[in-house]
Amino acid sequence: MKLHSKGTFLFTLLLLLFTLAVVLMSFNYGQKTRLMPLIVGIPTLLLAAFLVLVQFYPGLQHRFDIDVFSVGRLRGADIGEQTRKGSLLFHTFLLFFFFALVLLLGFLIATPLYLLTFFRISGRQSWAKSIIATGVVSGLLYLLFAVLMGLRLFEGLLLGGRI
Amino acid sequence: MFEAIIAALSVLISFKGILFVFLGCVWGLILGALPGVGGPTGLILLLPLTFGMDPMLAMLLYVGVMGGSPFGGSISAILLNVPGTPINAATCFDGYPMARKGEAGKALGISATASCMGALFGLTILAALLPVARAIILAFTPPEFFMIVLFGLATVVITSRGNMIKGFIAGGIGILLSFVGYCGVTGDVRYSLGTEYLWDGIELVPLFIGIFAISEALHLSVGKRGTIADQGIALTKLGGAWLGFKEVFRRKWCFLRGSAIGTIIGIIPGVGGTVANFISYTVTVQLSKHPETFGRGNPEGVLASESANNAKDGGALVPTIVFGIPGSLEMAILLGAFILHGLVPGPAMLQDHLDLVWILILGLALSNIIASSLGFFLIKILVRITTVNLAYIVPVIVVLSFTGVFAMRTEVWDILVTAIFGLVGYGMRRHGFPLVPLVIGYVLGAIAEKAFHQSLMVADGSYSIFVNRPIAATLLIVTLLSLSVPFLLSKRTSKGDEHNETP
Repeated sequence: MKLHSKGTFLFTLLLLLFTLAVVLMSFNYGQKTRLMPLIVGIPTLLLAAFLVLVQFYPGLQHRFDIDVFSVGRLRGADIGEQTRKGSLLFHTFLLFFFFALVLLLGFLIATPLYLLTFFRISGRQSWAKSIIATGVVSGLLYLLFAVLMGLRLFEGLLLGGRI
Repeated sequence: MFEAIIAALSVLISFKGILFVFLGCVWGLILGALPGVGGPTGLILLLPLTFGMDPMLAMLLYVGVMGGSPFGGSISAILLNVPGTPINAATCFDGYPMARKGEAGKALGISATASCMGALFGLTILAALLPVARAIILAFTPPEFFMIVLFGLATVVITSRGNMIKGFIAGGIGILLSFVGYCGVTGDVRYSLGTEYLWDGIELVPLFIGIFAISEALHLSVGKRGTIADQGIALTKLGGAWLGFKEVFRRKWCFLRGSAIGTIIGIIPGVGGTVANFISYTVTVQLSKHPETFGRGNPEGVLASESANNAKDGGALVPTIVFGIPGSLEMAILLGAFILHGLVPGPAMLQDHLDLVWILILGLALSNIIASSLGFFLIKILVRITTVNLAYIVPVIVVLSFTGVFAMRTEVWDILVTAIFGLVGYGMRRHGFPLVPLVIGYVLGAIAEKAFHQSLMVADGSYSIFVNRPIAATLLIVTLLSLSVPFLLSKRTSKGDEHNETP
């Protein structure tokens, strides 16, 4: 058996496990509470299992799926073709790194740090351009959220912020 | 009635009146464009400021915000794929692809025109319906409501575009996500994983911003470098806005349908603009002769979404004024503002404060005209955002999204949820799972469950309630027909293919 697409297989498997978990947890609830989740969850689970199988036997999909308005030929790989190697991992890390910075140090420190890192490393801009852009964007955001809206931005757990 | 209209006009057409609507409108435009913030936050921030103010002028400030924020939300939805407010989410589907094709100005022109005219449509209907509003609202009970929502869910079939199994899975997962938290029927907490955070369910704004904005930021980060408008922009006079203006009149039936759907759904209490937005979009896709062009920059997608989300305000004012039942979140805040100023919504308001009702109607109309006019003149500047280097755009989208999500209810964990759904959205797009069914499922899932159980309670557990009532039965037939369309079309297509292949 050969996998049609490893990435799609893993992603579909993830969706299958999520649906399976929801269906299994539903049995812990009362009859009314679990009725709708089971009505929706069981067919979704079966379809996800079918899609996992399809990754091994691609011919199955053409037999059972309906290509509404025959647009499958138009789809192609939506965004996969343009992906730079290793880039997704780095940018996902950067995203969660920003969240961690906000959580620990608060918005006032995390925002300029994230912006500078992005402009300099991912955007490959010069130090001067990166610093100016960081200052302008951070300043505008502060003006909008903290000054105009009067929002108290989160200070970060290490600097006295509370969740 | 005419005395009330003249009294309202005398307040509205004064320096103070126009100034208050204008200020509210600008405030609404700015907050509407900020992801996660939107009109309700704008109204809440104004509440303490208007305390002690003349109620008429305070109401003008409120309707100014309500008129400005939906168009503000469409600006970020079209230019950055970041829905400023949840009611602009469906605008992203075709507005952003238009921006990528260099047609941001045209898309914004459609949005400005459709927003303004949609609102005027809704308000005209409101004015006409005021005397008979009570009867209309009472005709929609849980079974009818369940059928409307079921119809919305059935559109998953159409919006799956090319891969129905993946569409059904996405829709199913969207519905399952809407079940997280308190069950609207029994009060049990479901799937909270032992955390208090999930007791109230997954918040709409972090999910939407994650799915649309963060997934797009990831996509732009890992893709080839350049600008959003990768094919350049058409820099015409007014930045293409005039083309958008003409497009609305060229597709008048689409506009009228979207506005009518927005108004009708707005009238149903507690549903709101997000549902109106999605149902209008999906109905337009269903009725289109070229449904495969949606999601790739079809102007009708923007038109359907924007006309509905502004028309819903007129509809939502009906239950707010007539019964004191808010038709949407903004209306709930407006209701709070009424009480703050000593006004009691409901039938008494129509008798004792009819001038105030007309202030709301006329003020909202003026606010929409101002918002769209401002938008028209700013389009030429706004579209240039799509030509800025992505190295600058991507981190701004991320920071704006995270800060906006935090601003909504000052909850740090909402940021994590946004990031997680950003990754999920990216994965779905990368592996060919459509996002639209997931979002529709999420918006309508819990509402459908509640209406379903309420209907059964009313009918003592009998399912016949869904077919015995004329409106519910009609809606059921329409739903079944819409579900069968793809199967019939698929058969016709395969027959046609066989015919073509025959030598």
